[in-house]
Amino acid sequence: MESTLEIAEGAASQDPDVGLRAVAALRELAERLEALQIENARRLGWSWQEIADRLGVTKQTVHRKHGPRIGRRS
Amino acid sequence: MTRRIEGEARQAVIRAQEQARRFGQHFIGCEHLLYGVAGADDAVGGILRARGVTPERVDEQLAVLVRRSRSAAPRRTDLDGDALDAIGVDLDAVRARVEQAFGPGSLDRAAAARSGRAKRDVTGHLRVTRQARACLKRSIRAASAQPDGRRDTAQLALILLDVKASAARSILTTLGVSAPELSAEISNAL
Repeated sequence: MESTLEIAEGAASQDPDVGLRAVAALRELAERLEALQIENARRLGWSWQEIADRLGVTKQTVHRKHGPRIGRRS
Repeated sequence: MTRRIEGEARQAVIRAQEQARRFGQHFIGCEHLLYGVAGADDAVGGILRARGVTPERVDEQLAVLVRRSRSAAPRRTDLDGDALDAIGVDLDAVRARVEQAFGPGSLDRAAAARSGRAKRDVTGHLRVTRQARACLKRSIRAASAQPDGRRDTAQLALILLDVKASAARSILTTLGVSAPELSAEISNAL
């Protein structure tokens, strides 16, 4: 088990299969964290502008992506 | 685009769109147009069906292609813990902290919310792939050069059959149909 892990780690920077799958998984993880954090921020009364500033994107981008799902501030 | 296409050809594009939606795809490609033409209520549709290119069989082959491409692509709703582990990210640790803050199952709930968004998109406007768009444009041009040619699916069918590297062509190949022979048959019938 340990040796399998070592092989995977050693190959991380070289094997495109491992590297690309890691990138895809990181992206998926980031998307999920983004959804959770934005949902929470909206619940706490943050504006789309405030959220967008922290994410480093425009207000329109974040609203277009999450607005339909989350909706108005409660 | 569909407004400039009339009659059966227009119906074919509408059927193509319906098929793409049914498969949960976000685009219209040559394979969907082939399906549309195969269901046409005109001489061309008749020729295709007589050669075994029926809407049902195109559907079956598309299902195979879709299944294959979806199993090859990383399943986006799955978080690949092994892949993250390879670059030193411990998914279990991340999960534990996220669930501590947002409750049990919150990381999976976030995925469900995202796939819900993706599903909604399919009901909206479907993108036409570059190749399918080129086929439609060529067929409009070819049809308008013919007297009353805009109304049947002949031009669209001939152009679809002419594209060598497309999902439509691989469906035809799997059905054991020769595209050049089918083209010739359609041209002769007109």
